[in-house]
Amino acid sequence: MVLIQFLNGLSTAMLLFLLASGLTLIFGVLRVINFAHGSLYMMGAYFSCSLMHFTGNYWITLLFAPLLVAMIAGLIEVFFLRHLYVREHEYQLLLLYSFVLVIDDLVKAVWGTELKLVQKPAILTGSLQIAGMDFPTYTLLIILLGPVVALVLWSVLTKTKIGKQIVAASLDRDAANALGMNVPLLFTIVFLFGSFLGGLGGAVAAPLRAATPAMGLEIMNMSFAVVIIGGLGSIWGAFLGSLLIGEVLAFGALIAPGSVALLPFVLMILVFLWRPQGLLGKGGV
Amino acid sequence: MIGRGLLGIIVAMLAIWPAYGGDVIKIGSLNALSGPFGVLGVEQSKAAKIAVDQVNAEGGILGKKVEILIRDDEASPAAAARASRKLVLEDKVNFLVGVNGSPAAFAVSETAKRFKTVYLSSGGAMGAGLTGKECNRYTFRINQSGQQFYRADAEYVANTFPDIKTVGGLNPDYSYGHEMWEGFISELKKRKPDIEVVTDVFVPMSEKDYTNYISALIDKKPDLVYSVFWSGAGVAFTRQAAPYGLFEKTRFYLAAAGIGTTITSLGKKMVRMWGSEPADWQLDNPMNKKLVAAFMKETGGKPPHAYVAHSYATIMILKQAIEKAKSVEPDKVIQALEGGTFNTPWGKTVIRKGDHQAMGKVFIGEAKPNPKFPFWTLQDLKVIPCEKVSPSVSETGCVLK
Repeated sequence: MVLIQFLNGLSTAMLLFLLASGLTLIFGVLRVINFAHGSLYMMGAYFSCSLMHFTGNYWITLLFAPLLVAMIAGLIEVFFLRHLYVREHEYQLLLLYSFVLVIDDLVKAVWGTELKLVQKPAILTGSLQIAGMDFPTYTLLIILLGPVVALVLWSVLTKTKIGKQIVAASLDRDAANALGMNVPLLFTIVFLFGSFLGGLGGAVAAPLRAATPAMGLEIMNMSFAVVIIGGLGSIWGAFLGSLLIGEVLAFGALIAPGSVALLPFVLMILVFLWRPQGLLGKGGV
Repeated sequence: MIGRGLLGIIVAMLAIWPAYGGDVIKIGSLNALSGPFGVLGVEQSKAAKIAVDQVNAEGGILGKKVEILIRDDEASPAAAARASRKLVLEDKVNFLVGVNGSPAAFAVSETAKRFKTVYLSSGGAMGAGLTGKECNRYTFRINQSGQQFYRADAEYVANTFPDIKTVGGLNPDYSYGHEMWEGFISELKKRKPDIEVVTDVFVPMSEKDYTNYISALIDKKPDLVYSVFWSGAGVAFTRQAAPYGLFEKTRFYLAAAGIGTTITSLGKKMVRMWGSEPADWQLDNPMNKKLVAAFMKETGGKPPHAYVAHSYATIMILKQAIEKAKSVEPDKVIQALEGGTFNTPWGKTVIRKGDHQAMGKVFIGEAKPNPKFPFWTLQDLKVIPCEKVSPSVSETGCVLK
């Protein structure tokens, strides 16, 4: 039972991590709090719903739904957000918040308000026996996806040239610019990739939770809590924050089911008082 | 989508069309067209529109054309109050119908009372007060009250599963979830005093990930689980719980129309469970068949859930009441409605005079695959007439003013 609940917690955690990693990456490099991240997540879910409908292939869906989301995010960055980096944060927040409204209404206009179901791939529909209890195979996929994404992110940022440039630009964008790096391009890439992760979260969540117009706003609160606990801008912080929140939710449901919704935010406040920069936060990626 | 846009334009045009004296009867329809209950509200509005079209095709009411003005109540009391006042004061509607959720329905009931406009509630507002302590002369509840449901549920469970010893609850954490669970347990204890409650969990409305609660529930090994999740929550929960084997390990009872929205959404991906509904689309009577045919034509084969039938019924009940009263005057229509018997998609229904609560039926059955359809249906239906499970008027505390 404890093991099953631990795995349940892990699955919540890894889904949150997909969102929080994108959020924290974008903040770390662009210094932008991506308010529209939840809407990108929602779009990921709806795109996967349509792609699944047309292709019938889950794996194609899992790749292309986030890619479509990233494309839209790219347009937002190039045509709108880019012009506001020099302004105060409020302008970026306002812009991204207006995109939340626009995307939410677009989704309603295109897909309607009724909830959409996405089928799981055939090989992941069943369940496995773990410690004598049934456990959904699909949930295991989510649990595995989290660490894979974390490792990919970490190796790209530390081992590749573009990764090092991104880290450099996040530490001092003027110096990076002066050294001949194409900082605007780096920013676009980071925004694209962060949004891809948000879309991936949506695509992964769709078969589990169904796509609804309110899903974006709902997950944003939790993702912000993760990022604040882990430290804004820190990938491993987001990983740790997700794990903490996921397990707190899982064991909270076992011990005190009535107050479980509160626990992540209590945890967030405690961390905030003790380490305002977050558990692993220090600025930069 | 384009259809809805067009509909919006048509509705807007109709709204600014000069009212031709008494040649039209205007009905304001309120439902949640956005937000988490939008799933429900859009289909309910569609049903009201279908009813109005059918009424007009057969010559309207008293020779007058019926006009329907569809508005969003956002399932919120503030929005419902605003929209209903606007309908009454600016659009000059003769009647109000619909409204999703008790808080919004109470707000519209206030508008009805204040501006003396007859309101037929059909959106699943189940709070006891609407036809209880907060009742008023202008408000009628066409759908069942929560009390009617949980009493029928307890009756069915006690008779159908005499062997159960333990029950668990998993319900939404707001007044409705608490009222239904506590009501069900106290009614079940009257019939089976030795029943043991092994778990009662309330899940926040905002929660979309139920996995943590599912394992905890299975661990407690209840013989039966009682839940009133509805709309999107019922669907999401069912899909998440199935791979954990919950529906094989226990009898899951999804009450108060939750099963209806879940079964029509999940189709052939439905799982074994039991549950209660305020109507059923498979019922064999002319009015129901007409509704089902029109609705399935619009949705491409998706059967209507029970609240679609209720929304449709409000228009048909209004038609019968107006024809009986030979007038749209509120006082005369109220007189016709009070104690009257009306044809609905679920059969003849009396509206009780003392508290304006409709005495419909509760349909309870088991969800099973159906060889006749590409989706599951509710089968072995047991019908419990509301007269059998309603609190008396004096018990409700309603004094009509």
